[in-house]
Parts: sequence; structure tokens; C-alpha cells
Amino acid sequence: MEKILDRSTLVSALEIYANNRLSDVGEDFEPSQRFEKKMERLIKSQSSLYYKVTLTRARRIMVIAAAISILIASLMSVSAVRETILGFFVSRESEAYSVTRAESDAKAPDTIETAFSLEEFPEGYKLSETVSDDEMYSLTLADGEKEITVSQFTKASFASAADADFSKPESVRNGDTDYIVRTLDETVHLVFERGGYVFEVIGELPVEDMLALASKVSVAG
Amino acid sequence: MLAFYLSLAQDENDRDKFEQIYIKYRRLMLSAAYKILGDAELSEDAVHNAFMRILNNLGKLGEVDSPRTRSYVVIVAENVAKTMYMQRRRTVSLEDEQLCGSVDDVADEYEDKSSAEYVAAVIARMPEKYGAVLILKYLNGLVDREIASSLGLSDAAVRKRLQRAREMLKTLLDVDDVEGF
Repeated sequence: MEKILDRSTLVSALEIYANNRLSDVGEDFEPSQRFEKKMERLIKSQSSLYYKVTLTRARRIMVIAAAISILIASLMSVSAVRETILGFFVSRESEAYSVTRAESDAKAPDTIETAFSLEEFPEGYKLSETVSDDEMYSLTLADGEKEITVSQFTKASFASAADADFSKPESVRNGDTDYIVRTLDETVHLVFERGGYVFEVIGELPVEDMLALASKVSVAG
Repeated sequence: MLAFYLSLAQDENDRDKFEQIYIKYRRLMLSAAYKILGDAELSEDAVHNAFMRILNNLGKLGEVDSPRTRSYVVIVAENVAKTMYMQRRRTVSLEDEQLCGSVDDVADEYEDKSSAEYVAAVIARMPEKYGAVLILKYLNGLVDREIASSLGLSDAAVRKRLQRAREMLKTLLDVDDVEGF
């Protein structure tokens, strides 16, 4: 006679096993401020998306205010600070995405003192959203279907949104800037340093177009 | 900056759920990752990545305050941490195909070999990676593609891992088949 383990026993067994394997995992790890802020930002951004959908009037005011800010910032900006100190690099010894701080970071701002400006947007894209706090300033551009996000971080707060397990980093030099490029399906992630800040650009454009956009990011100084 | 990932959260309920999962499980996930990595900053990076993966499968998770969700988030955090550990140490695998202890000892402990307790004890002797995919498949009800995105594996690797897990379980339990496998 055939011996069969029934499904309900298996499910009950897996519940017991799952509970047992978690029994020795404590909850005493105290998250750092950096981590909490990063996650708060994630949650804040979620609220922002909902806000965008439901409160269109408020959204319009926000977008207009952001557009005016960018215009003023662009008019006031002097030539972009091009010197790129490679204060971070992708560890090629491992495939893990690690950001290593260089000695020059001691002088890096620990808050966003000067928000970046974009000299021009890619054709068809308009500003759709801004998110900011003391350590991050982010613009989202949209063309109705796709989005591009340009984010400015203090070095201490930076953590890439790229999933290191699904994409491999490549170093690309364009002009006088070194970029870390990751491509996952259609999405391209660029990370680079400018004006003492770390920038991340995420979008679904060809790498060349993404690099062209990144070159238009400037920090008045 | 996370608009791409956040767009995966389909509606307000998903977003609320994500926040609740974060509040409820972040310390547990961080502790689980720390047990593997032994480094606080790396553990936080691992859990951050784990939350990205959780966003992908938010719709498939049930109640936030449930053993199944608790188990799921820890498995995802552990998996990201193990991947980071392996990448840093350049080791091929933390786990191998070896059993974690003798199944004969388990058999001696349990009279009723058809009980859930006995089956659970046998699963605990299997490599953790097999137990993890069985949980995601049969407790969390994820399809292979969702397991793959949760664990950072290819669909093919998930199918292979599930196949090995099922075969090992059937052998250890000395059964011909498992209903629903």
C-alpha cells in the first residue's frame, strides 16, 4: 500500500518548523539612526505617492513650488563642480555593493546644504514629484509612462536602491566623472559623486542618455 | 528615490501593510541578519534590500501579525544576509546537502511517524534552504517566480531546490508521495 503524507500534516509541520526556527532569533537589535531615517524616507515616499493621486490641487501647488525652486536654483548656479573625488567604489572583490568612504569624506556635508539643479530634462519628461529631508533631495521626472528619479544624498546617508543580487556594477568614466552603472532589465542605475554629495539616477533610458542626464546635474558652489 | 519600488505597492492598503511590517518586524529581521553577518551596518543594508524584495510580494502576504508573515520576512532577510556573506567570503555556499543531525535520533523520539511534530522534526534536519522553500511554497502560498524574487534566485534554481527538498523529505519520511506535491 502506498504511503502518503497528507497536505494538512505537511502544512502543520511547516508551521511548527517555522516557529521553532525563529525561536532563537531575538528582537534586541537596535537600528541605527541612519537605518531608521532611510526607512522613514521610504514610508514618507509611499505617503507621497498616495498624496499625489488623491490631492491633485495640493499636488499642483507642490509641483509649481518645486519648479520655481529649480528655476531659481538654475539661474543662480555657477559652473558645476566637476572635480570628482572617487570617495566610494564598488568592491569588485565581492559582488556585494559596498560603498567605502574615503578620507575626503570628513569634509563632506552632513546635511543637504545646497540642493542640486538639472540644466534640462530629457525630451518629453516633466517634473512630477519631489521628496526631501535633511539628508536627501530627490526629483522624479515623468513622461506619462516612465519615470526617472534623480536623488542627492549626503555621503553618510547614501544607500543604493539597486538590488545587488540582481545586477552587477560596472565602472564607466564619462567626461571627468566616474559612474557606477547597474542595469536590471530596462532599468539603469547610475551612482556618482559631485560637489561632496552622492547622486543616484534611476530610469528606463539607454545608458548613454542616462549619462547625458547625469552630466546635467549641478550643485551650485 | 524609491518611486520605482514604491510603485509596486498597488494601493493604500499595501502601503499601510508595508509600514506595519516595517514597524513590527524590523528588529527581528535585523537580528536575523546580524546572526549571519555579525556586522551591524551590513545587517542594516541586508534588511533594507530585504524590504525591497518584500515590496515585490506584498500582495501575497496575509495578515501582518501572523506566524506566516513573520516567517516570510525572516527568511527573506536571512537569505539576503547569506548572499552578502557568501559574496564577501567568496565561499560557494554556507549550506550543503548534508543533513543537520541524524534522522534516526528523531525517529527514536517520536512514536507517531505520521504526526506533524515528527514531520517538523525531520524537516529541521534538512538543510535550511530546503525548509525555507517549502515554507514559502506551502505556507505562504507563493508561486515559483515569487519565491525566486524573494530569495534572489532564478526561477529554474527555485524549481530545482523545491524538487530536491521534496525528494529529500519523501526519502526521510519514507513515504511514496506527499499530497499536493
